[in-house]
Amino acid sequence: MGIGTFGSFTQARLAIYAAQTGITVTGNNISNINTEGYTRQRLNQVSLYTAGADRYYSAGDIRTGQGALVKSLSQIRSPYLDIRYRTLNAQFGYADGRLETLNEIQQILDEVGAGDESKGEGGHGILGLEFKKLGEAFKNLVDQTGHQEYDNTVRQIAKNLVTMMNKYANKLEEVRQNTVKKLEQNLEEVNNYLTTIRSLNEEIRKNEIHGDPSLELRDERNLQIDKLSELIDINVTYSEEEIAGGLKVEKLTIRLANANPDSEVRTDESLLIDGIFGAQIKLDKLPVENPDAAYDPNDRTTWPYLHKDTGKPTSALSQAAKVKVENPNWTQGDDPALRYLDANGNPTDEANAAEKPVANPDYKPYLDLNGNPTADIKEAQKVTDPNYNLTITELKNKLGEVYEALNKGTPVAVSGERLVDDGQGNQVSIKDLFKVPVTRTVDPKDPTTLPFWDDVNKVAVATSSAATKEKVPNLNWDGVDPNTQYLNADGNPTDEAHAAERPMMNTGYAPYLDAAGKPTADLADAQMVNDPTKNRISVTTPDLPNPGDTTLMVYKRVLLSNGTYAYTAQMITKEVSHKVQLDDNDLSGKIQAHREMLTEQGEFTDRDVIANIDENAGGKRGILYYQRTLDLLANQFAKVMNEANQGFLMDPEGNYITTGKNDAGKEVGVAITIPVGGKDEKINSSWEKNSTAVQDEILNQLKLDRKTMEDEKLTGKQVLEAYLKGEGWNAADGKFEPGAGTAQGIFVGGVLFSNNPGNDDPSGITAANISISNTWDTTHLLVCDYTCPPGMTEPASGASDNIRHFEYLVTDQKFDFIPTDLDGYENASGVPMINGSFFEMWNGIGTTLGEDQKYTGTMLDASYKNLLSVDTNRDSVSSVDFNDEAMNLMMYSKSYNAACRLMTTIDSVLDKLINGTGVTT
Amino acid sequence: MIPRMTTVGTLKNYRYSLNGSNNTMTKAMNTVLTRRLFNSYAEDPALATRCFQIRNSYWKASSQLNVNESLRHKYDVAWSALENMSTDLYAMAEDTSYTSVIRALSDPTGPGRTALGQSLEAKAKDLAQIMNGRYGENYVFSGADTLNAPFTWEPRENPAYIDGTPDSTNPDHAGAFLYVADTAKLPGELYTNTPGNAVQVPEENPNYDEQFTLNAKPEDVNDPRYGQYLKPDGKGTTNDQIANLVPKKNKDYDETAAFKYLKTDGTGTNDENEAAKALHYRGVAVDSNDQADVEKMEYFLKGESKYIDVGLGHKETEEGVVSSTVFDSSLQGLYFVGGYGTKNGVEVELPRPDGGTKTMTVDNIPTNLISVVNEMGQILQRCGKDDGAWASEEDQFRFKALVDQFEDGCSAFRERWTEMDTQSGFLRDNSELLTDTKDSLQQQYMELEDADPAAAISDFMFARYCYDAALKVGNSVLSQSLMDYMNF
Repeated sequence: MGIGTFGSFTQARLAIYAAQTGITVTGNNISNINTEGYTRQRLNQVSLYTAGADRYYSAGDIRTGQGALVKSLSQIRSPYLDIRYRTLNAQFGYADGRLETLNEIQQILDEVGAGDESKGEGGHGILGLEFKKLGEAFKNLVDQTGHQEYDNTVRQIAKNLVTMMNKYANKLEEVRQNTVKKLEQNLEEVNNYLTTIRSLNEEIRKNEIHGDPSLELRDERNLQIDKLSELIDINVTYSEEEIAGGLKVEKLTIRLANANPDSEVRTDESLLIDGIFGAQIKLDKLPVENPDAAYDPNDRTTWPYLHKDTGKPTSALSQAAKVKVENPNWTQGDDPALRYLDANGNPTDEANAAEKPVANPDYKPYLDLNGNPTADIKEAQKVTDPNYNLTITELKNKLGEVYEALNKGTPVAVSGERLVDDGQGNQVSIKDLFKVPVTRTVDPKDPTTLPFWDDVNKVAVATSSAATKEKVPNLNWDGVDPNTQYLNADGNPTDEAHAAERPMMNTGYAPYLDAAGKPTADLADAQMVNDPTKNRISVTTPDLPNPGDTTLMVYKRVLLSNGTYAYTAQMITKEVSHKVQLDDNDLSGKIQAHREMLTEQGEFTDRDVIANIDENAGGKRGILYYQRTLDLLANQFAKVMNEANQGFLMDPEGNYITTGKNDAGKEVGVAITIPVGGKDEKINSSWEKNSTAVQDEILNQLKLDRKTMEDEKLTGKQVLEAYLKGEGWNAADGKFEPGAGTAQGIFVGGVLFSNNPGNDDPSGITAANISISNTWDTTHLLVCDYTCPPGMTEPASGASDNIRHFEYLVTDQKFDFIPTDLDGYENASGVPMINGSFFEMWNGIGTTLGEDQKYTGTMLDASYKNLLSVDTNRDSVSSVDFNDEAMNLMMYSKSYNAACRLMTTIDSVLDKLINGTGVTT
Repeated sequence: MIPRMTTVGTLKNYRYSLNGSNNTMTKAMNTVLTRRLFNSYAEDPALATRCFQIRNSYWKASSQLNVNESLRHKYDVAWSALENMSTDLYAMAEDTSYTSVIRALSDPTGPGRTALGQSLEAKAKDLAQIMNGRYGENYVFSGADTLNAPFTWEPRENPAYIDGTPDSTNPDHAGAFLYVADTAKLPGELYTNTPGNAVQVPEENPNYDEQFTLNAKPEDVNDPRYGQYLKPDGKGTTNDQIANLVPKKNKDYDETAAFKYLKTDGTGTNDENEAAKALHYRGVAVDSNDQADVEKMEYFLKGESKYIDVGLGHKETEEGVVSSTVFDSSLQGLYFVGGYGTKNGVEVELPRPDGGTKTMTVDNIPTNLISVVNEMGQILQRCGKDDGAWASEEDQFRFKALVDQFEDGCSAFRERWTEMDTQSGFLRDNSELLTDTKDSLQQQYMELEDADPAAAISDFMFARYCYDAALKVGNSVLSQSLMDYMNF
């Protein structure tokens, strides 16, 4: 049957409607050509064909469509390009984040082209130039030794040098602080994106349920995902979610994109968004430690435990009293078998519980928000983890409900003989799961078949309603407090008045028959038989691998024609979302770039970290690397200069001297001697030039031996100077201590560089604190020479060998710059970073930075170009083009005109048919 | 598949490309403005590192050149000083009065010796003054003791001088006491200056003649030659029991013990100006043979150095600086004037008026020219003012020994002057070498760092041209589309 007479009008009407809708869609595309993230939309039309072939259908009849139907609007996107774009965007973000910080460091440490042009120092650098100037000043002082203006020049240049180091160190610290802020801001952005995407998912889901494709919301969501992908590398997937009654809607899932090269790590695939559930990423916080709680053998409040015998504080874990680790989720009334936690943190009974030492209540290792000591870590003041570790929170929906993932595995065929967990911790074969105990029929005359007890009449009864009620006792009652003797309806301890009630059980109840056919109360003794009516068994294993998770094993069987059963097993897991502590390398993108710039220390990385966490950490250099390198330079510089400026005067042969008198009674310089074998032997400043007997005597007086000297890497000079200072070796502390002997010799010089301008303390010198020592700042402290002419007690007025030595140290001497030489980095790399002069070390810092910048810049360029290419490809698929839209406009316009013409034609034809056919005049 | 170029995609592409074009132009502009090929390590880490190393070498060469120039000037000053000294020595040797003295060594009537003596002594002072010359604030010839004048004339110290109140119980202070103390009166004391507290001994007869006394007749007892002792009446006696008692004299008594200095005639004085003057080098008596003094001067001449880096490859080992890699800038004045100490056992032969010769061995002849000239002057000044006669025969022989030493000293001086001239020449050559090195290094880093202006400007012009073109393209990117041709 063809179209009805007036059906043609409908056909024309649908055509007009379709063309008009097409014009509207085209108009919308044109309107949004500048809208960020907009994806061009397309009208989906189908030909309307309403009827199928009917029984009485004439083969000669021609069936035609009944017009065009507007089916839907769709977006044109390429999921593949989206994935590519987002992956590249993360690479771009990573390179961009790194380069951003490296550029900031460059502003400080890169002195290429720098220098004062007006002084002819253009291009010579700034801090690097100070080293050269210092060397030059020492050279001039060699020539002009003894003239204070030259001495002052050396001091002033040294002051400029350390001031410059301080300045650079402070600026690097500023960069570090800024990077922390950037990390925090970027994390906030990540969390905002995650929140927005989760909200958009919810809106889209709601709209989709009502049939609205929410194309604009999807555009917005894609835009947010694109932005998120620059900060963290993500994996976006779409799936269908069954709402109800077969209605399915799209579900968007975002996970971390498996950035960790360690294939065993799974945290790098953690869920961030799953439909309407979303997580947040937080920076870990650590409790602030109480400095007064640091272990002190004389202060019992710093001893963490209580002794197992005396109950008094102790610092020895092995002597501590122990208690079972309780399950924090367990409450009174819950299964006692789950009251504790085992060593793996899983709930268990008391017998299998893990133990922990009993804490000393006076031991308060943390500080709270007010700075007061506290033992409770929850009350402790928190600061950002120095490693900037991140944690993904539980996934929650808008209402704060925690996400639970239900994963259904595919059923697999299994043998009925396979041993599986029966849910009670026992291993049984699958086929036995389908067996039931042989039970006895209730016989009112046989009390052993009746489960309950009527305590009034002292008879067993069949129903609970007929049983006498009793209060629910608290099995854990301490036997003292009557208020906790019972349990209420919620399972909490209470007194008798508020106790819950339960029917009394018949203690003689024996519902089963054993293998011999005798009644038994014990299920374990009952005879088990196959239950042909049971073809499906579910076994639940709770709290694995995390508290709240469950694993449900569903075993099914089918009776085969040969009378045997075929079994299947299906695993269904319900995983409750929990916090995920991210590994060091779980992220990529800008966040990771910031983290790495904040934490990576290159050669200063602890060897344990390289061995256990990131084998590539030794080659990753962040702000800390540049800070520590500058510290190492400052520290080594101060150490070398301080050592060179302290010592004892000696005669031209190198023998240490002291003040004595000649025959005429005049004060003269005489060699210090040490009695050896009844003779007085001179002590030479070169350890090797002293006889073995002299060396042994000195070691003997210091209470030191050669092995210790070798083990402690003590130099001969250190030993000799300790002897002259009257020190003695403290074996317990492994250092020389003053006061053990008598000081001898003429000590000259002092500390040139200290950790504070107000003191002479050379310990812990860094680039940030290196200063001209207080004494050098106020006096002329430079030692020009240690050698005195024979018989004299001071060097010649212009003697300058030590100044020349200073010049050599500053200008030419090559040192091994070893990370372990820096305080606090004893477990870092022991391999020299560079063997070179101070200037070469400084130049090396710039080179390393330049190489790093260049590599990162190349990486950024490459990822940017790739990103651009993919973005262009995405645009070619998804963005609006005027030519296209003009074509559509023309097309829909012509369609519209044609449909109107169709209607006119039909009208004209029908007019002829109705008004002109069969009419005679 | 042919990519679908969309309006949005085209615009985005254009924006990125325009940005790139602008970047290129900015870089080219920076090259022109800074005249440098690179402005950060990152642009070319290897080249930047190399340039800094070259600049470091350049800076080092500059400072080496500066200090080399300073040393060169110091050596110029030293050379001039030695030239002056040389002139003085030549003048002295050529002086007519000097040569006449030399010729007339055996002539006791030679006139004007006193005047010549005064002149020579003054010349000795002048020579010392020349060697005390300074360059800037530093003494040129004082070795490493550059802040102190190397040569000084110090009053001759009295070795017997006892500083402070003499201690009568100290044997070392014996020189300060006239008498040996009577321990009965002064228990524990060894010496005294009070006659009453001294040990009393018989007065010895200064005219005692042993043979006369042994053969004396009774009337001879009044003869002054009689008797070992003197009685209170002044007559001699052989009986010490009746002899006059006098305080026992201390044989170690030294009348100069109370004086800090000695005059030229060997008497003591506490006045520095009256004292004889001895030449000292850096506080040590030059003409001393005392072991302690010799050890010091040995060190000054052979052990002391003042090393400085003038671009010879400055290097240190555990033993200290490698001397061949540095320049020793210390100039020891003592070395140029002939050394230290005195010669003993110098054989001197002089003709006698009778036609024969006489030989005498003299000691303590100074080895350095200044002391030699000084002592020559002093000896001549001791000659008779009227007849010019030598004060003693010893003076005459000593003068001859000094003349010989003077001749030898002058010869040695000229050799050492030449030696210093060689060092000075080295500094001049080194200066040229360092200047060349410095210029070469500067050239080297400029070649590596500096942009070729023509290339930089043309690069910039091209970048600018490209940017302008890109802007023009931008105008037409969206100029036309199908929309513009639609006609409804």
